[in-house]
Amino acid sequence: MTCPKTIMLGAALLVVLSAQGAAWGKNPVYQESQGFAPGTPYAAPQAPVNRSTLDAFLVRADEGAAALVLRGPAAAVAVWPVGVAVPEEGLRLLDPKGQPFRPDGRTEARFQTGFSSELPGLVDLPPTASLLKVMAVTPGRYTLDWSQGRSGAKAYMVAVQDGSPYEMDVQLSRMVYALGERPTLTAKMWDAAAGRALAGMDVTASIKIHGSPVTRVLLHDDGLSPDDLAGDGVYSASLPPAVAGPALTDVKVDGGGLADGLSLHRVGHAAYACASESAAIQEARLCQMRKAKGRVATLSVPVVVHARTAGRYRLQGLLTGRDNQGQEVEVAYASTTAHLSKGAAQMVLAYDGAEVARAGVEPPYTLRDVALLDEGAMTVADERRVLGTVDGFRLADLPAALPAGPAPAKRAVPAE
Amino acid sequence: MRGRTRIVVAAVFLLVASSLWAKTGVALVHGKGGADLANASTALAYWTSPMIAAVTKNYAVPSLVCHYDGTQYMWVAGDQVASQIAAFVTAQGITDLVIDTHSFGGVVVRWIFSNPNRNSSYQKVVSVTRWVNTIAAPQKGSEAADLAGTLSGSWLTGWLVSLVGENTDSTKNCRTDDMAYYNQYWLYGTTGRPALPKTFYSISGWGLFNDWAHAEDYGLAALSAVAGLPGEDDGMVAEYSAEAVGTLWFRTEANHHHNRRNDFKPVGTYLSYDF
Repeated sequence: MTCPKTIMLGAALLVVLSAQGAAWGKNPVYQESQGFAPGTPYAAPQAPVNRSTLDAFLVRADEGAAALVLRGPAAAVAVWPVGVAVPEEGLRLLDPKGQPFRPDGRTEARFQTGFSSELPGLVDLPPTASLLKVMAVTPGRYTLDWSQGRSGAKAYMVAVQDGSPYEMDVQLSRMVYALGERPTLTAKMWDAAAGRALAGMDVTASIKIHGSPVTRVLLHDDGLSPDDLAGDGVYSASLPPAVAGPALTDVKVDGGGLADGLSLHRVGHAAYACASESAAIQEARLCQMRKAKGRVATLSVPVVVHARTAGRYRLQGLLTGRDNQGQEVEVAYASTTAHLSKGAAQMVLAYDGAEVARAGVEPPYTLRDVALLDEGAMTVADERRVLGTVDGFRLADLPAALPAGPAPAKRAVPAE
Repeated sequence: MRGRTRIVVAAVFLLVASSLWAKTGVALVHGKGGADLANASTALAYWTSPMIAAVTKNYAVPSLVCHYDGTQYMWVAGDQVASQIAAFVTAQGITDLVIDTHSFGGVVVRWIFSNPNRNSSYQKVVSVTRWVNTIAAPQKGSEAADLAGTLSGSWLTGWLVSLVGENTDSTKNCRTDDMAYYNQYWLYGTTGRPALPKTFYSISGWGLFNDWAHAEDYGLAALSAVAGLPGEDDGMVAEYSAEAVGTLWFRTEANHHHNRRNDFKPVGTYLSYDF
């Protein structure tokens, strides 16, 4: 896709005019180009890490009590009654000997409870939570007792921070998978304070795929693919094949076992999208340069796509380059949005030369993170991590960099 | 010829005059919640009258309280909000709009500004807006929404699902996993992504127990204590998330429920400094 020195002005003009012509008609084509400030580091997209120190579970009210492990020194327990609009007033925490827990040896620890008389449904979680925060906890198995409960709840949601440095880091290998591809999931269980892996744990992923019951998959730390190394505390699994749907697929991870002679449980989560494949990126053609006043006014990258489903699509892509220190930095972003009929079509990423110049980076540039978005289905239809290289000119051939927009006005800060 | 000159002069005069006499307005966009937030009265109750009065300088500034179904994804909500704002600015002749948002409303408005060509309403909103003030917007998601998702919805079966009531698209939209994906592919304004076409100012909260007589504060404190919100937070949204987009305007001790009101801290009065 390297640009030849010979400027393909005629072809570029045709592309621009055809796009503009479409914009004047019933099928508008929207194009956008933005440059980045010098030194904006490029970070490859990756799925977030969910770091959890949380134990959370749901328990039926008719069980009367539930066991909790608190390790301390500080810990917190929150309880939400399910299905009722009032908080649970009858909660108690019993110590490992089965006696009411008295952190200072004298006063029983009490849950703080409140409820809202405001409009229901406005808040993000039921405001009927009861909270117990305690300090100086002795590690042990405690009991959450609601046998005196009066709320009428049928179940309780319980969330516990046990106060220990035991963590579970959950991560998927990517955010978007191709249809039928099996996502790789890892869960690292470790003592964050000591930097020690927690081996021998049971780690399970629960996947709720659109329209199907929950599927459970065991993660392994056995060194067999997809796991890298046996016994390193990083548990891995290949999940069921990705299925396209209107929303991200949720993954819940439960990790547990024995740590310091007490049971340990952590919950974590992840989510991924499945490419809908309603359209596909087929190829990027030769980069075309349009000149004006002897400068490269526009860098255009025509991309051939094939739409299986007619609809409105956006193609976006990032140019990156290397700064003087060899660090990969962002240069410019471009997108084009149009309604595509079924079949092959050409979409043009048009990078404004003055925007490209802003980063102050010499070519060649890498065309990265090219994604074709299905705006009707709100899915990623297809993507390419790298689609080619843009070259064949020098930074000095670009117009003067457009000045960055005005800095946001400094506003008086209210003094609280 | 003389008549034609007069027309041209008059046209130029009108053009200049209209720019000199820009008419300012404000739109308030609420966060997620129930489907009944699609009702105007519920949306008004969300913000409370004292807050609206404070923001609008006792209703001297033309205002719109947007009302959308609080259970929906940002693009569904965005369509409703953009349509309402476009109708408002057209009807009122507003040429200088400030948008104030709370919580998920900040994500909804960022969706609009990340997709200015989605339809004519979006274009209208973007073109007429001076800037956007986002109060405690979960721009990188909310660990509290993660907790809601973990405890409820997908993982339960049968009768429990309907009882928990948190298995909504908007709650899912606010989870950190989902926002990481939307920030990477669909939204502008975070580090490494294109800039938004207008300035966003963020307001983040760091307080929890604002009012011991206010029972909702217990719920927020419980969330903050157990949900694993990193750094300071307002009980629902951590400051790192609220400040992930735009320029930080100020931090407030008001927690997530009080920073959409004008009670514990005069947040509405601060917002009125724009007019």
